[in-house]
Amino acid sequence: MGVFSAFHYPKWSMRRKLFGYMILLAAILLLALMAGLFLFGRFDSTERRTFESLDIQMEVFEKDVSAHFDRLAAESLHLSEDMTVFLEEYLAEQEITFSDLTDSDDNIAQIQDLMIEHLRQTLLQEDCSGVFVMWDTTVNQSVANAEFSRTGVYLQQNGYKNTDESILLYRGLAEVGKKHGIMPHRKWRLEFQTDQFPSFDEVCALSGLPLEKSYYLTERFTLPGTSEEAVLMVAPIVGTNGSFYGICGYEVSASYFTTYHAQPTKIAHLTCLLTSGGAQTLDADAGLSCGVAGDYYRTPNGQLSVKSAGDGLSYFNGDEVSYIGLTREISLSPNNQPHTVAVMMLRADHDRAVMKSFLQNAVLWALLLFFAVSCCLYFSRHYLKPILKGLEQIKSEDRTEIQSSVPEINDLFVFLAEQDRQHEESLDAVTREKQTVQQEKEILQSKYDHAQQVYDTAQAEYVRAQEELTEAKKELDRLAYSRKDEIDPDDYQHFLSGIRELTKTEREVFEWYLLGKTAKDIIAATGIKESTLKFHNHNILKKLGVSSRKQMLRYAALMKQLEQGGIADDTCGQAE
Amino acid sequence: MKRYLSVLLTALLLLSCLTACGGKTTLDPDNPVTLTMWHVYGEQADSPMNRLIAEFNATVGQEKGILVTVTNVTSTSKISAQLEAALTGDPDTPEMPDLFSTHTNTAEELGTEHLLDWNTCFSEDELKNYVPEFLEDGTMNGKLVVFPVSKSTYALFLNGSQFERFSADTGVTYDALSTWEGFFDAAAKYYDWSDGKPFCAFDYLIRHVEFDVMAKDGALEYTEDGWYDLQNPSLEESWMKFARSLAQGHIVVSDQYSNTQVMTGETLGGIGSTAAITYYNDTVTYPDNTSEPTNLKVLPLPRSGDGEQYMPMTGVGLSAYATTEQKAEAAAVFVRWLTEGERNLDFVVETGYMPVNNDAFEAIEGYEFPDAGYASLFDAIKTMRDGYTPVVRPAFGGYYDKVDALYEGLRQMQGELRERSDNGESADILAKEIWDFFCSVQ
Repeated sequence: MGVFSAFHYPKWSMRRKLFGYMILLAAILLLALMAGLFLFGRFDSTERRTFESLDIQMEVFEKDVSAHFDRLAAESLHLSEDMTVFLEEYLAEQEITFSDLTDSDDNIAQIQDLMIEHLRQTLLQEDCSGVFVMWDTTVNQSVANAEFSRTGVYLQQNGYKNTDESILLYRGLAEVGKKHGIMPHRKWRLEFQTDQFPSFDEVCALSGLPLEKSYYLTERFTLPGTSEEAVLMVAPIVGTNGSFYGICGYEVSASYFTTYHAQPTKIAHLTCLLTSGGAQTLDADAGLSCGVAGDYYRTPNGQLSVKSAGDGLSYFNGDEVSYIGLTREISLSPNNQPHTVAVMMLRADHDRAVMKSFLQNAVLWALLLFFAVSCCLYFSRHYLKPILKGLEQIKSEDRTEIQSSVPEINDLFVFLAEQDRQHEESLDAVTREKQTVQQEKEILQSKYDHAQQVYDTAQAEYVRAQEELTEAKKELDRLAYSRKDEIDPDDYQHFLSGIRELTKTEREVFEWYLLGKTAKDIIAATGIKESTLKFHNHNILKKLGVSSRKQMLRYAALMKQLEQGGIADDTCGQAE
Repeated sequence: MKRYLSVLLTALLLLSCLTACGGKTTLDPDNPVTLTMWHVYGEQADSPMNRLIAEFNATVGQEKGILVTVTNVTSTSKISAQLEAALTGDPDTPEMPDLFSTHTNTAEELGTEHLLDWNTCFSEDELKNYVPEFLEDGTMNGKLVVFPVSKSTYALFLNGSQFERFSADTGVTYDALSTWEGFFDAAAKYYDWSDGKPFCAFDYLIRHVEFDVMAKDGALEYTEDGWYDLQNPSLEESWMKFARSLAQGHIVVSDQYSNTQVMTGETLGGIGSTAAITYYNDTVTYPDNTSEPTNLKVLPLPRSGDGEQYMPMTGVGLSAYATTEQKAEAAAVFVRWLTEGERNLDFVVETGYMPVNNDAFEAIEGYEFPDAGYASLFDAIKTMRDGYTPVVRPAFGGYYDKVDALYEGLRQMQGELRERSDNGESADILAKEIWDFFCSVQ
């Protein structure tokens, strides 16, 4: 929940939070997609895919090459057997031995004349660029280098069509060839030169082996007089008595190999190589190569150093061109070291494919990311738009006619409308109450104003009364002052002692009188009856020893003045 | 609106032309364009053209993104039929190549609309570097559809080793072969000297009859259907001159290529394309397997009388199958590279052709040739270039089918005629039979 707690950040808007959730969802989906692609192998490296493509191609090429040379080996053996039978029949017919053929131009011409049609048919039937039979004899031992010269017939295909018209006589008697409609090759020679054809001695040495184990694939060599290079599948021709008659076999020229083994593949610029050599270097010059049917390939040249490239692939680095691919050993003959077949593509192509794959992935994921972010932005905005609009509308005054595409918002509007209605009802009630209170307030204010007026009036009266009282006191003081001498000190002392004898009620009434209240005021203030007041008045006057209320007030005024120090000391002195 | 569209289309067309051969390059070194090529240089032998192509692929081709792949090395006699088969989609024929050697008549048969106009790829200044006659020879309907790479003519090739012995015994010299009269006389002597061997094999016999007529009349008229005017007495006269020698076995029509008959010792010499020098072996091998150095001696064509002499101007050029702009640009780069002065010189010297580049032609004077055979070839070429008028080969429809039929018939006849001659029949009568056969070819 730690991830989600981040979305509770209070300052984040709803849009940002929703965007965050959606981005998180998109990231999870992308991760799931990546995991799925990884599980189903869609995330394999370019090297891995290259290896798988080349591995399949290797199966095809290896099978093609193996089948082709196996067939040629078998046909070489058949040709050898046929030639043995043919020669021995001829020798028997002529009652001569094989050695009698040497220097015998007639016999050699007849033999060539008899065998050339067979070779022509063989050449037309087999997947090869040439067929030859080389007899271990010569038409003239006396010529220079006769030890290398061997008679025989070598027919070659010329051009891309394997047709009768395109067969040429590369080695053999020109007259015999012409007799059979086979024109001499531009670089025709009468006989073979064993020093220019590889492996004559090697195959001669194999003649002691059982025939089925005696075939041999030569190294690539340049056909004398031409720029064409070729390999020969060679078998010895051995007599029934074990004597060596010569060799025969089939030619696979470099250009024929290129055409015949062109691979129908979509791997651009595929290069296939059949060569001898080990694991460290491939000798391209010694091999035959082919490419893609309908496309081109870079013919490998020179020594290709082999370095591991990982994922089962190897780099093949040449002086001019480098490749990437794989190799396998292949056995084409029991008398040859294993050959190597290599299926390669241009390293530059591969590097471009790696870069392209990387860029594609980068672009793909960038697009996915961009798409995800855009979608999150768009959908979060699109999703929140009615909600935010609804929220904005909630803030608005009038929500009665609002309709949202979000049912929850509509429910909220219904709820808020109900709330509004209730609120307005409450508001009306409060307003009405407020009006009532206002009215009451106004009444009270009016009353207050009236009371205030009364109060002011009373206050004015009070002030006036106070002034009157003050006047009265002044008068009293003046009177007391004037009549101080008229008061009998004993009476006054009696008066003072009589105050202490007053009852509580009497004292209260006495005080009211001292305050200047009239009898009527005292009745109103105390709530006693007039008769009761009179009773108290009587008792008060009696106890104070005065005859009238007027006298009592005079004595009382005198007392106050004395208490306040307002009368001359002599009075007080007298009183004491 | 139509005007606007036409202006737009014109602009696009111009743009496409510019991008094809002049403007921004369409070539990409990282993604090379492949040009398949059929050519005729070095069939069945060491091909100088293939070596040049390998050099191009490893240098300029790699730098610019062009890979020329040779898918067929054939001969001038076969390539026309092969191209026509490829163009019509013959199932046994590879796809039409992007570049191919061709004659103008083949180009016409293929249809010039299918071929690249090299004028769009080369500037006028660039074209000034080439021999104008050769450019003219490759131009059809205002389009340069066959770009001259090399031009050849005919020459007399001789087995020098044997000729020396023959000369020592008979007194016949090379100078004697400078005229047809001397040539036929020498042929007769050789036939006797060699116990019945032909002196010379002819690859293109009828052309020499043509030149002989032209030397006499100054011109040769063809019929409306593109064949020889058999009513022309000069034609019959010239024909009979060759036919007498042929009937007696002094000369032969070659089986296929005269050089093979020279190197097998069947004949002393051969008259064929100067380009045949590539195919001559260093040695001549006889049926008893004895051999001797060829010591090739090449002479100009024998002269006919004292008038103006003529020599053929043959040799294919390069045409490009019009496909994509990128291939057009690549083809132009390759052809420009191939025909540059020094390279053109090296190429033609090696293949026995005449250069097409003015600079190369001038430089050939001081060239150091690899062997005496090549030196004598270019001496012969120089002699003919200085003293003979070049004549382009006929380009009539169906002409070469008739020529092939003529040669095939002569091959069939010549053995029997020689026997009859040996048996004493009149050479004139036998030659008349040959003339009659010539007249029968339709």
